[in-house]
Amino acid sequence: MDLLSNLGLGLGVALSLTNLFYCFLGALLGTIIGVIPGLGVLAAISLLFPLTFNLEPTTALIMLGGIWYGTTYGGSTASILLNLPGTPANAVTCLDGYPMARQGRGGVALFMTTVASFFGATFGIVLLTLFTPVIAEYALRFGSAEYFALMLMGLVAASTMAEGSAIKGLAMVTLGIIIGLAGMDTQSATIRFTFGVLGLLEGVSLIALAMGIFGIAEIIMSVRRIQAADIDPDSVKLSAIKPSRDEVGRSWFPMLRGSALGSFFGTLPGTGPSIAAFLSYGIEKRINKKPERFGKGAIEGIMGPESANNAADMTAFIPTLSLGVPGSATMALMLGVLMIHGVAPGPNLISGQPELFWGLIMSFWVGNIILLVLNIPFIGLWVRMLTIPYHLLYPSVIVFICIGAYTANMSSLNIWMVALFGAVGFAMRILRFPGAPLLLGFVLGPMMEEHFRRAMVLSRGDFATFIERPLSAIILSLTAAILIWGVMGASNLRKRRIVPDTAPDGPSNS
Amino acid sequence: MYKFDYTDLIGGGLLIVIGGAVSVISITSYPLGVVQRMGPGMFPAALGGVLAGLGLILALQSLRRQGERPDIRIFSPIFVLTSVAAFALLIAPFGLIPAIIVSTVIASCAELRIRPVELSLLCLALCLFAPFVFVFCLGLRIPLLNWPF
Amino acid sequence: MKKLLLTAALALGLAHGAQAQEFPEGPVTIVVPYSPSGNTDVFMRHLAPSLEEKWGQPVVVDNRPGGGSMVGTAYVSQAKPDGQTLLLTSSAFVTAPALQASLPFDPRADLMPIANPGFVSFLLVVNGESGYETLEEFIADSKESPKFGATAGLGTTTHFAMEQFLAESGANVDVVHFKGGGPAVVSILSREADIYGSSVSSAGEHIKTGAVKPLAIIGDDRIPLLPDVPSTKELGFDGLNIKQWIGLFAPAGTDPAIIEKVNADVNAAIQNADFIETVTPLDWTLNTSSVEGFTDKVNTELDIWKQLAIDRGLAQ
Repeated sequence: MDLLSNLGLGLGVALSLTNLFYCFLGALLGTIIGVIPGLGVLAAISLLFPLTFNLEPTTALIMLGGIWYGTTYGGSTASILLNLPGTPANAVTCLDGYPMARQGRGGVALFMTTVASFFGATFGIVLLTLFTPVIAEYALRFGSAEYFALMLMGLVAASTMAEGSAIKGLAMVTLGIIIGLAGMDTQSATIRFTFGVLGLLEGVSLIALAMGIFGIAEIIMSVRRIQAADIDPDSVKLSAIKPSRDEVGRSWFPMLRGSALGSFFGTLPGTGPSIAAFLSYGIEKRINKKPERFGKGAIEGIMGPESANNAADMTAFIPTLSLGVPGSATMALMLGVLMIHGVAPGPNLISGQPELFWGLIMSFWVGNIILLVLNIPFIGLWVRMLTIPYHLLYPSVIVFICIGAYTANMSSLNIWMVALFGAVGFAMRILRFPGAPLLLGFVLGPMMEEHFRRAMVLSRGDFATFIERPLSAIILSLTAAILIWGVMGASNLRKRRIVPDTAPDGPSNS
Repeated sequence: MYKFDYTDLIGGGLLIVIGGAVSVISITSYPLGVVQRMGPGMFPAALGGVLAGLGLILALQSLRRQGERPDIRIFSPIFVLTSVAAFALLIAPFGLIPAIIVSTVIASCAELRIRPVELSLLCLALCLFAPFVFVFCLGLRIPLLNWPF
Repeated sequence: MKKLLLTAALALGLAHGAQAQEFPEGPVTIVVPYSPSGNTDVFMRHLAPSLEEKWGQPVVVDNRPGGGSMVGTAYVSQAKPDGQTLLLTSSAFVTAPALQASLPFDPRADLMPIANPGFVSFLLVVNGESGYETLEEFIADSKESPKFGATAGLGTTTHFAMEQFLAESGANVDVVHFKGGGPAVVSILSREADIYGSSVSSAGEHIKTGAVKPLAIIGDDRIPLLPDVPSTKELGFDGLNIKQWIGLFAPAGTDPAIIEKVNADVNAAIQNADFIETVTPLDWTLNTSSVEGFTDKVNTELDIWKQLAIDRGLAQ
């Protein structure tokens, strides 16, 4: 009963005319920011942060929240249509989304990712509504040893994520971790691999890396190859967004697993939507009976990650609001909105500021419905982007990537990094190295090192800490299971290959 | 068709070089520490070794199979990367509009065919749209036009 | 009429010929070397309107985070010394140089201290269920079985607070670095670490629920927000005095007249009633400072922390 009255209270706040307007504005801005490659949600929210001084804290949070989850909706659009991620959290959606678009199923992919996003977000909101205090409590059990075990699991699950040899995948994960270590070491203040560049103290920018490896390299490979005429004109009609019954059937479980995974990672400060999306893809590919379809337009490969990143977007608010611990720089900005207005985030927030807490949560519902309504009619418009001649499209994308990289910290350094990683990405394409594992290693690597070293300090140098702590032991045994499963799966696959494959599952794009 | 898979041979070789360099830099420049208090050099030194090891495996494997001719492009990387570099050079001293125009023009050259009318229209459209999104909607503080001299 | 007076005043100012009278010549950029929404940033954003009113020019807060404030600080040290670009940073300005062998700037030579408008006290906190009632109990117990002390990161003021406490008390504690104040407080909640020298704003809400227990205020005096918690001086630790402060700096070579004017304007701006009302709940103690006094403080603290780093075997 108590819950119902709280929900009513929240709905009242969220549906007030002002809040509704700002929620809509946030969702719309978020979608646009998401679609534009290179412009990150952090940069966008930092820029808009001063505007929120004049708003009520609840209204300000509702708007910034709308931008935050709106970008993840919008980000998949660029991944699917252009093979370049709108945001790093959508990078993995490229792997199967883009082949779908090239096969003339772009509309289906866009529609289904919108559904997956909505599903994942809803899942996250339900958890947020019912279990915030409980979840905040359990998140405290994750110490450094557990975080390290989780990161390791992520890397193992993802090592066979992309097409090609496992060795190459592992090599790219390792390279990603090394790139991630550049900057000032948090445990000793030693400056590593910056080669005297002051702007690299904070490390390589994720946006610059993702835009270089995926965006610029993709453009280099596509210029003079992609013809707008390749696209079947029927495939861009609004009626072409209807998925087949088979595709709907194959989407349910990936969405459920993705949402659960995303919700879990969202609640752990420091991890986030990108990791959740990568892991979801890795797991879907692992447990699928026909993993060879992945990378060629498998619907599971977009449904899992897109529900995972949106669920994580929502549950990321749990530690932020109830512990006062922001999981990412973007969440730190959300906390800043509260602090600017003199509201202290922490365990007393829910009881002390019920209008704010419940109003915000109900605005998430409202915002996600707005996004659903906003995105589906837009699909027809977005898909038409495929009919724009590529020679007009790609210079525009380059310009937007450059401006986006510049806005991240107002220095040209990030644009230079885009160029550098564009060259690296191009070399990787020639040498047939996959990009996604590199990005995952980059995201996970620094955290992995930090937690490993801290765990070693806390255990006074005893490796047994990883097995003695029960949660860490469970995660590590799961990791081992995934590893063994993967090795056995690979040998099974090899056996199967001896029998010549009959019909390939879908048209290949190469 | 090549006798060996040269693509992977070169890829493996590059990994060995990068991994080796990372290890050497880490060991010589950063303290390694002890297990209980690992120094900043230990993790990268180990990773460099792993990377070089993976490169070695890759290179050895490549000798046991035939390879295809890799898909190497020359003009598109030159123009696309120059376009990004031009933007990086121009944005701070000259402002947004010159940076957009120059990098759009250079990027378009990757087509190896100039369409003057379409290119001008594209520049115009971007010069209107980009400031609208970034400067007007997001309140970004970049000068549209700047004359540094 | 008003306009006329203004023109007259301006003319007088020009006739006077002092450069400081012309300051500011345009928008003043104040670089905050932390992300938006951090403690220092919030302080600056609240202070900006009062300064804008004083100067009749926009005050632009420019966040340049990175390298634990080093990126933004280095940026200002290379800026044109005309008073139009200033730096508002925290006491990391004096603590970080004690640990880092190679800094991209010289804290004594490249920047000129202007004003020290506020500081925050630290508390020593433990987990609410740890059973410790007093700081003495904790210190005694640490000698039986070694403990872990959390910091918000290497070279931060919380790190030096912990080291200074350990040097003074002889407690047997190993220092563990976390990434920021939030995770450090969580490490106390989850009992991964045992003690943390926290600011009130990081731990405040958890103190209210009893999840975190404050054992002592670091420094000479108790604080109004927690009147029942003793200060470390009362407990017999005279040498513990670390505070997290914020300070305004200008690039070296700035006209001393401008420095004096900015100092006076900042001292006046913190008297603004609206400003006081918004900032005090964030547990800032506001402070009127002179240029000379603050310069001495910066130089003294640079020496103190360097010496502590050497004594504790931290310096590279």
